[in-house]
This record gives sequence, structure tokens and C-alpha cells, in this order.
Amino acid sequence: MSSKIELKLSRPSRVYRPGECVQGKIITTLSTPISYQKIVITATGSVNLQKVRAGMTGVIESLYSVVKPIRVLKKIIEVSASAGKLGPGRTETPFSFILSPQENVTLASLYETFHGGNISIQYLITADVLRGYLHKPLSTALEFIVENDKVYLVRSPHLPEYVHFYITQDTQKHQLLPELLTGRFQISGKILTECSLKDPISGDLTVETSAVRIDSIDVQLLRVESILTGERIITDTSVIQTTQIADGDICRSLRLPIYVLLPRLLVCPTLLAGAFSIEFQVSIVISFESQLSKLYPKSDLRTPRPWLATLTLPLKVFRT
Amino acid sequence: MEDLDDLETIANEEKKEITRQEYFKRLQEVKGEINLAWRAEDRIRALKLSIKVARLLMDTSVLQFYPTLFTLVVDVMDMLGDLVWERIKKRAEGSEDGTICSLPDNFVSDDICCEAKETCYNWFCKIGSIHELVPRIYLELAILRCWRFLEDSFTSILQRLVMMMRGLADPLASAYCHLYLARSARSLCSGNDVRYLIMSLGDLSILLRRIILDKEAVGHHFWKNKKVLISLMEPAIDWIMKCIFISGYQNAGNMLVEFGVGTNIAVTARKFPCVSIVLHYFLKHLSADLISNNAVDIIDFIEHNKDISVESHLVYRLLGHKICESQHSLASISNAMNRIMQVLAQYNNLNEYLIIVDAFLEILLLYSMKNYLPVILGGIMKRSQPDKVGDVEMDSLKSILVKIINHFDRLDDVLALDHFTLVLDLLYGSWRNTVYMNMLHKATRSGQIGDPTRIQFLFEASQLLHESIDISNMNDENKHKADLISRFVGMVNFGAEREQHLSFLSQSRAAFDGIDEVKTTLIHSSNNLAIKSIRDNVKFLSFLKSCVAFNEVTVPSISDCIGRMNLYVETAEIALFGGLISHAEGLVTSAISCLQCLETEGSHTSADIDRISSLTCKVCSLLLILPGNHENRPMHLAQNVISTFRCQSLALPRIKVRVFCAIIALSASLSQKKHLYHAKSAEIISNSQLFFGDLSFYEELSSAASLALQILDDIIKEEPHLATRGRLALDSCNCLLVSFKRSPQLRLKCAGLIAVAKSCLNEKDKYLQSTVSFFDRMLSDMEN
Repeated sequence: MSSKIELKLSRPSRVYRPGECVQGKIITTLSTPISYQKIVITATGSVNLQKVRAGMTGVIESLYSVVKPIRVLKKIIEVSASAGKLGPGRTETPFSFILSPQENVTLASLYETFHGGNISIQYLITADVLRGYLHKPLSTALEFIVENDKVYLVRSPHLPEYVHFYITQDTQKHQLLPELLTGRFQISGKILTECSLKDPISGDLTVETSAVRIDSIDVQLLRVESILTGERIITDTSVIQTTQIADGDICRSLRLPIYVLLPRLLVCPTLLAGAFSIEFQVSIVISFESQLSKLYPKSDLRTPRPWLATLTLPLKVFRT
Repeated sequence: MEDLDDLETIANEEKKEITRQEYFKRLQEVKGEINLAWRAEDRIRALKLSIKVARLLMDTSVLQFYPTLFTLVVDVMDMLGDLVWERIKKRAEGSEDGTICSLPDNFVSDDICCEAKETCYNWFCKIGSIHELVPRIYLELAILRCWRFLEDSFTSILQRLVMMMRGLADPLASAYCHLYLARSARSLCSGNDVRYLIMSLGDLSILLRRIILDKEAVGHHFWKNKKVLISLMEPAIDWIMKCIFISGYQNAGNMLVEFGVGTNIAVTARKFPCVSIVLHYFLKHLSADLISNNAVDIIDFIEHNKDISVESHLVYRLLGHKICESQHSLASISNAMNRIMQVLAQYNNLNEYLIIVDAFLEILLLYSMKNYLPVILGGIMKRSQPDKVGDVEMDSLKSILVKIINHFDRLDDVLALDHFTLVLDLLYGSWRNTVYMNMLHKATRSGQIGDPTRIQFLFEASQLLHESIDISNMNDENKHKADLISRFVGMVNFGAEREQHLSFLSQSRAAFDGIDEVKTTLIHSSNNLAIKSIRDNVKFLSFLKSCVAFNEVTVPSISDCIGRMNLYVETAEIALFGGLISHAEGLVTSAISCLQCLETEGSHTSADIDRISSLTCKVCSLLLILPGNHENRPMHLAQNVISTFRCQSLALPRIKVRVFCAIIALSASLSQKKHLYHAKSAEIISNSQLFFGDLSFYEELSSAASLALQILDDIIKEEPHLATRGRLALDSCNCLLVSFKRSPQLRLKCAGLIAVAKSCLNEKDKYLQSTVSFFDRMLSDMEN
């Protein structure tokens, strides 16, 4: 006897906004008919703050048992309240519900889906065909994605303004190679620090002078996840994506574009929710050619090394 | 996926040691894997593999291999591009109810459903998340055409991509990346917006300028590799330039402005950073008319953009060729030529000087700006040191001289040019020969050559040409040379100075010993001289003897038997004409002896055979007037012919019949009291007078005739082919009817031959009918 149960949503992208109707169907494929007591759809949404990745030595690890997931959505819909029978072959059972926040929760709205390093916001739909105590229920689950229409936590965006920046040997707080200090360098540019999820991070960058040859220029997208535990706010910053924009010792005084598409799911609108917050940063890292760097082939760009020059700016992400 | 990474790393490490073929094979395998993964719906794996392939282009350490690598990688990229395009297109074409409505070719982004757009955008996101710059750009270019699902205007996308490539510091990697952009962008049908291509060239120029100026390393490449590096970047520049012009860029005049031609140089330098190699390809693709209309501006521009990326004389050469192919006007050209002459003066290197001259010479000549020619030739002399002009310069030098020679109508005008002969002396080897050939050609096309110094000059040229002919290998070129020499010696004419002409002929014979063709011409010339001297009729005898003697010496060295025989017969005629009996006799004997070597000489064509038979007939006709003596009667030589032909097994029966008929006719003619024709010269006594009433002579004649008749009978009898036998019989019959006195024997004989012919031929055969009617007429005459 084989039985298969699947969930299928009306939208292939599985993206829904609060207030919208989530439509879908339960598809069962059975070789023999079965009888059931009822069929239930459960929609849940939760903010998990304990997700610890292997190898992470963050402070948040210690919170593992401390912080409980925050439930933001729980809806139970009885698709079929009375007992019945599912025939053999393929059967489709439609369902629908309105995506709205849980009534007894103080939070005003639903957060957008986000899969971060320490914080993840996830929404699931579970289908259960309950068959009484003697039989195992048939169940399946499917993630759906919540996006907001407009942003409520970040002030509405005005006309985008570029932030102009300079990177020189003097802007660096860590120790630099002696030849960088004597040779000097200046990199200037501008970047938009408020960015719609739909749009790329844009800007440009010009190497005006640099006596030492440049090896690479990278733009890093960082997430800053903070969790409030009691009196303390614990913050962890991690890299989402690194994008190289210059490979080798590029021409001086030539304007390079900064063009970084925001990865889906890994980035959500900047979120300040009291108990936790999700913020983003963009970091420009200049790697200079150096014999020393070859001794550390696995070194990441986040560690302040003497052959690196870095500029980090906050990036406000919003949805339009 | 981790396993895969490991595999790839190992593969990459091994690749360092493997050959080009293996590399190629591996890439083909990866291509197959990508295809397989795609079909198994594992698109992430397909993408990951493609990224790995694109990453190969980050390594430019083996310069020469990079273009090959590029084509291999681009092949994979294109395949992925097609797969993605097809997938999204399918999405866009399938509607929710499962029906398919195909997209028109010129669809716009509004025609695309959200679902397809979503998939498409997803692809760009996936590619956007690639860390390294090179694979990220290549992958986006691979699926560049998919932007059509999302957008309708691509200008900003293309410009952004060009800008992104500024991040590629390696000039080679950058050049090929720009090349791929130019190629991929064509699929966007972005009309005639070529700004991004001009940007591409601008950025490449900056990189090139960096290579040119940098005294030390550029990336991994070092100074000594500069030239190689630039030459490897050339295809990219060429292609991008080509794309600019084929994109239907309507107002090509704007291109000049775009590149800054004809504007204030100070402003230009900031606008477009032109490098000479880019300029070179710009000119290559620019329309010739536009170039020639702006020639002076362009020359100024070239002058201001000289660098090592391409030697400026090569740019000028291109300019010259372009102007040549344009529709130009005198006004625009004369200014340009003035300017070019100024430019030319700066070049001190002979080779560069020659290359530029060569390119512009046609134009100069076309507009008869001949006053420049002495300047140019003088310039060549100034820049050349004797013995230091090498093979490199020869091609251009040759080409220049040939152009000048061909331009003038008369060779004299060419030789009269200042410095021309001096420049000519710089040449050697095959280059010199080519020029001499052109000079000979020119000289022999404009009538006879009489000037002794000109003759001497051409004679020396011919001698040098003759030395270069390899007689054992008469290919087209050698044949052409021989032809030219022979034409030259034929065209020489000293007018009344015949002695001088004859000595020229013997001089030529000594010089051009190896070539039969020339010797034949010499003999004809000498015969011509002889005839002329006879005509003039004053003290010709000794000169005639010299001419005939010249021929007697020359003819035996002709290797072709038939040609030799022909010349003997021709000279014999002249000798007879001038009354040199003993010479004539000797020459005829020699002509007959030529027949003997025919057999040993191997196969002959049918034309040869016809010539042999007609020459033999001519010999027979000469025998009529060649006076015999007591030892050598006229028939003595005819006997030689008979005996030669009798045993000639190779000769065709047709030929034999003709020859023996001629013998019969000769006997018949000699037996007449008054001959049909006689020698013009009074020195020659007719045979009819010499042998009048000599019975033994008549006997000789009739025996020769009957012998010939006998042989004819045998030939006819032996001929296996019926139609041929019939015709031969008729030939003989006609000959007999004409030659012999009418007698019953003759009648019997001829009736026999006609019977043979009737048995072989159709009754309605025209020849048969006419012969029969002739025979009947003769018969009735006899009876009457």
C-alpha cells in the first residue's frame, strides 16, 4: 500500500503578503482508499533565535536554551471537519486562509521571511489527515514566503542619496603594511546606503592613487543580527555574500561600478523588533598585493590584515 | 557538490601538465556533463559547472593559449545561454491551462508572464551572487539575451557591463571579455546604439596605453611580451570595431567625431584615448569614401597618435589602400598627397618608407602627380645603403617599380626618370627578374626596338632573366620568361644596319643558348634579314651567305625534330631564293634527315603528324626546282624520302599515302618538258634544262613512281579499317589520274582502286561520287 501526500500553493513563487488569501490544495495519491476523521491545515510562523551553525563561535551559542522561538503566526483550518473517505488514485482537496497576524500576539505585523545565521523567520503550512488512534496520520509541510507590502519599521524612503567615501591609509584603524603607509593610496567613491530589495546596491569607486599594486577589490554584504536577552543585546555580524568588483591592479582614475544584486531570502528589510533586530552593512575591501598575504591563503576578508583596507557602511534595506 | 569540487580541483591541477588536445577533450566532457545535469533537472549543478568553466578564463598565464581557451569556454557559455533562454521562453509560452502560444520573434517584455519573469530574474540573481568578477560577467553575458524578458531597453545594462569590465586589470582577459560582450549584445537587437562598443574601445585603449607606457610588468606580462600581448588583443579590437560598423550605424561621419578625428587635438586627448592599433582597425572598417574625404584630418590624427602598438607606416599603408579604393576627387587628393609627402620625409627607415610609398603610388600615378616620382625615387636612394637592402624591402621595392613601369606607355619614359636606373640596381633575385619581365613586356608592346642603348639594356636584362630559367623545369613562369625574351629578340630592329642586326642575332644565340623558342625566333629574324637584303638587291650575296650560315649553325641545336625540319625547309627556301644551290641542297638533305629521327622521338600528336606530312610535301615541291647534278640527281633525295617513309612503321597510312602521292606528283612534274614553276634566281638552272633528253633520268623517274605506286598498293591492302581504306584508295586514284599519261594500264589501275573504294564506302559518299565522275570524264577524254 502506497500513499503520498503533497501540498501545492496557487503561486509557484510561494510568496504572499499579509492580508492576502493563501490558496492551495492537498493532493493525495493513494493505492487503496482510506477513511479519515478530519483534515487539518496549520499555518505557523516563528522567529527562531537559536539556530546555531556548526563552527560558529558566537556569543549567541550560549543562548541556545535561553531564548524561545517567538511565534508570530498560528492558524488552524479544518478543511474537512467531519469524518470521510479518500478514494484511491489522485484526490485534490482545496483550502484557503487569509494571511493575518495572530490575534493574541502583541506584534503588530508579520515579519518577512528571512534565513539568517542566528535568526530565522520562517512560515510553514502543514497538512494533516487524521485517521484515529490506530492509524498514523498522513502529513506534509511546505514553507511559504511572506513579504510585506510596505515597510513599517524603517522610515519611508526619500530620494536616494549617495554617500561619498574615501579610503586612504589614514582611514584604517588596524596596522597596515609599511609600504602602504609610505606609498599611500586613495580610493574614493559613492554608494547608496538605502537600498530597495528589488534593486542592486549601486555606486561607484575610483582608485585615484596607489603605489602598491592592487590584488582585488571586493564588496561584502554583511548581516548584523542582534538579540535582546534580559539586559544585554548580543550582536553577531556575518558575511552573506562577497562580490569581487576588481580583479588585479586596475587602471587608476577609472570609475568602476558597484553593482551587487541582493540575494533572495538571505536579505529582508531592515528589522528592529525589540526582542531582536536584523540589520545590514556593506563593506568595501581593498586587497593589496603582498608577499605576506600568500602566507595566509585561507584568510577571510573580515579579519583586519595589514594588506587589507576596509570601509564598512550601514545599509538600510527596504521594500518598495 | 563537495565531491564535485574535489574532482574539479584535481582536474585543474592535472591540467597544468596536459596537452591542448586533452584540455579540449576535458572541456568537451564538462560540456557534456552540464548538458546531462540540465536534462536531469539539476540546474544548480549545470550552473556550478559552467561557473567553473568560466573561471578558467581568469588565468592568462599562457598568453598564446588564451584565444583558444576563450573559444572553448565561450562555446560552453553559449550552450548554457541557449538552455536558459529556451527554458524561460517555454515558461513564457505556456499559459496556465497548458496550451502553448509561441512568442513572436520581436516580443517585448510586456508579453512575458510574471512567472517567466520571476524565473528569469532568479537566474540573474543566481549569477549575480558569483564571487569572482570574470565568471560573473561571462555568465551574465551568456544569458544576456534573457534581459529581453525583463526589459525593453538595454543601453544601461550594456554600459554597466562595459563599466564592470574595468575591474579586469589583465588586458588580455579584458579584451576577450569585451569581445564576448560585443558578440552577445548582437542577440539583443539593440539597434544602432553603439555607445557601449565605443566605451569598450575607450577602455581597451586605456589598457593598451598602459601596456605601451609601462616600462615594467603589466599584470603577469612583461615588457618583452608587449608585442605578443598586443597582437593577441587585436582580434578583439577588430571584432568590436566591426560590430560598430555592422550595427547599421547610420551616420558614419559621426564616428569620426566620436573618435576625435579632425577636432582640436587637445580636446580629443581627453575625449577618446586613442591608441594607434585602435585607430588602425578604425580605419580598416571605416568606409573608404569617408576616409578619402577627410584624408588630411586623418593624417593629422595619425601623426598625433603614434605609439608602439602598431607601427605608423602600417597605418599609412592601410590609409593608402583605403584611399585607392575610394571614389576620390583630385581636389581632396592633392591636399592629402602634399601632406603624405611631408609625412614621408620623416621616415628614415627604408622599409617603412617603401611601404608607405607603395601604398600611395597608385593614387599619385592616377592623378599624374609625376613630379613626385623623382622625389620619391631620390628618397629611396637617400635611404638605401648599397648591399644593405635586404629581402624585407624587396617586395615593396619591386611593387613600386612595377607600378611605375606599368603606368607609363613607353619604357623610354620610365628609364628617363631621375634615379630610376639607380633604384633598379638595388634589386636582386626574383624581385629583380619580375621587374625586368615587366620592362620587357612594356618594351615589346610598343613596337619595334631600334635604339642601340635601349637594346643593350634590355639584352642585359634578358640575360639575367635567362640565367634564372631552369630549363629542366619549364613551368609557367619560366615559359613566360622565355616568351618575353623571344618576343624581345623578335622585336629588335636595326633598320638598315643589317650586319649589326645579324651580329645581335648571333650575340643572342650565344646568350640564350638554352631556349629553343628564342633560337627559333632568331632564325626567323635572320631569314627576314636575308629576304630584305635580296629584295634590296645590292651586294646581298655575302650577307645572305652569313644569314644562311647563321641558320645552318643554329638549327641543329633546336631539340624539337619537327621544328628543326620546318626551319631547315624555311632556310632552304631562302637559299634557293637567293641562288645558293649547294646550301639549299644541304639544307634539304638535313630536313629529310629530320624525318629519320621522328621514329625515335616517341609519340606525336595528330597536329604534329599533319605538320610532318605537309613539310614532307613541301620538301618534294622544293625538289622540283632544286637542280640536280650528276652525282645527286633530283630523284636521289626523293629516294631518301621514299626509303625513310617506307620503313616508318609509326607513320599513319594516311600520311604515307599523302607522301607517296607527292612523290608520284614530283616524278610526273619532273618528267614534263616545261616545269610548273622555277626558281626566281637566274643562278639556278631548271632541271628540265639540265636533264633534257637524259633517258636514264626519265627511267629513274618512272622507277621511283612505280615504286611509290607499289608501296601505295601495299598500304591500301594492309589498311584494316574499311572507311579509311576506301578513302586512301580514292586519294591514290585521284593522284594517279592527275599524274600519269592516260593509258589502259592507268584505267585498269584506277578502276581497281575505285572498286576497292566502292567495296569499302557507301555508294552515296561524296568523295567516291566525285572521284568516279572525274575518272569517267578522263576516260571519255581518252576515248575521244
